[in-house]
Amino acid sequence: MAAQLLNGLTEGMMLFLIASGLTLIFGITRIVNFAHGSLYMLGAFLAYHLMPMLGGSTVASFASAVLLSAILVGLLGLVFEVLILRRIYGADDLLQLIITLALVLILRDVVKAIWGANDISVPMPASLSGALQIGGTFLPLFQIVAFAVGLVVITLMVSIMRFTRAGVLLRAATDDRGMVALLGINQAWIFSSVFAVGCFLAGLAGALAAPFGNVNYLLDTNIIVMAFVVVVIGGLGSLSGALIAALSVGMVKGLGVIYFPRLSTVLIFLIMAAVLVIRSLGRGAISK
Amino acid sequence: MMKIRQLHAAYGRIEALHGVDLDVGEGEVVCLVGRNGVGKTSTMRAIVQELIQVTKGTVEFDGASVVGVPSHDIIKRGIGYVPEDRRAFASLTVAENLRVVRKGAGNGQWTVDGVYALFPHLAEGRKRLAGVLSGGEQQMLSIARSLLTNPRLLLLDEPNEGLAPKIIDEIIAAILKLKQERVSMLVSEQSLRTIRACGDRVVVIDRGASVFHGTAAEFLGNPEIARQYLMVSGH
Repeated sequence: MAAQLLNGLTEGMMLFLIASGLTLIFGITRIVNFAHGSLYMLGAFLAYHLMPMLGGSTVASFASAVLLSAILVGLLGLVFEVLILRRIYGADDLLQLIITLALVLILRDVVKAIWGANDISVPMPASLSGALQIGGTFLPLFQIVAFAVGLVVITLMVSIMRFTRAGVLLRAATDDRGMVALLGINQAWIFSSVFAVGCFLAGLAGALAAPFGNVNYLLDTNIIVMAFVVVVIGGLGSLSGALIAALSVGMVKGLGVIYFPRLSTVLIFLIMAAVLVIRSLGRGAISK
Repeated sequence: MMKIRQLHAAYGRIEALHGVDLDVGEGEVVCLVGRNGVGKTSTMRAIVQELIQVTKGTVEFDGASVVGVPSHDIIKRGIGYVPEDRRAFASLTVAENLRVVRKGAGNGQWTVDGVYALFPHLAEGRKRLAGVLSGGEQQMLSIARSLLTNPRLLLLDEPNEGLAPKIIDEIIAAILKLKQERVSMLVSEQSLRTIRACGDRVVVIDRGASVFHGTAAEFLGNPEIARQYLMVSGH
């Protein structure tokens, strides 16, 4: 039970890392980034590629591989934003959707060309592959560490959003980005940095979660669906909403496996449907 | 300082302005009056290139055209804009709203302490969320926020609209103080409060075009104009 709980929490945390980037980008640029799952996948492959180069399966090499992968994915996001997305902010939503979808296909082929179509596995750092005995249960150490890393990222995000001017600007732009420009601030660099940070988070999640399972070129669509579910339940553009939703979805998946193994995935979509219905009722009530 | 000639502007294909002429001189308060929906807000928006496209005519500030210049650059050149609906960042506190503006923007004299001194009301509630402020407080916040960009010309779109008389007095007092500090202003309104208090000149807009230019005294001395274009008998 405790092990399943931790399972759910860790999965929820990884979902939050990817969904937070997605929701942040949407909240400010209004871009629905379908390629977010692909960037997560790319993070996993990069970690796989970099780990041996950085010294094998030690904690230090894993940590630096994760960080480096995240930075590389963030930089890719930055280039994509500056070269392509920046030109189409005013355009039809459909065009934006097609362009991020194009990136999905391109990245998938690139990954297949470089790393092949077979499953790969990213090794856990050797010293983290054990379990921690708490009471009568053994909890996998790596999961605890991954969860803790998630907590550190959340703490950093919350502090930046609350206390720095960059955070104030981001929240202001989420409220009313047009007004931010009318106070003499160039939105272009806000958009670019938000996009880069969002992609960094996707890469970070992909690299960090890579040892949990097999990594292949189909990971992109698997993860993007769950990420969208989280963002929809949490409310588009809301970070705290994404956190609550991600942890809930993780728990439903983690615990559902014990109690209703066949239903756990369906249940998540039922929750999403319920949230959407309730939210639309609320909106209806207000407009009346 | 600002010179507008034969300004035409449109929302998409729908033309809202069909020939506005307007000048604001150094240190001057110009009042833009007219009924609801005749183009006061559109004129303000056209100056800062917000939501509306200039299709013909010129808008010059300090001798340089601002047509086609991105909004944030227009603000940097020294025009401040306080929109009709105030647009305070609702989920931010008062202090955070003021923090959005880059410190030392425009190299002017306005600081956070300075705007708090102008609106003591805001200083008391600096930790409150802007979304829960009263309309008057949001108006003060919006003006304060814009002042931090250190504008030499401030556009105030219906600053008194929908506010209690006591709050209007405070806003008018602030406008007077700004005038003493030699901030040029373009103030739109449907009543005659600002004109009476500190207006130098008046431009009347009707159906998307400017139809009267004169000094405040000329405008106030000729109630026929107000009756024709405002349909209020000077309350």
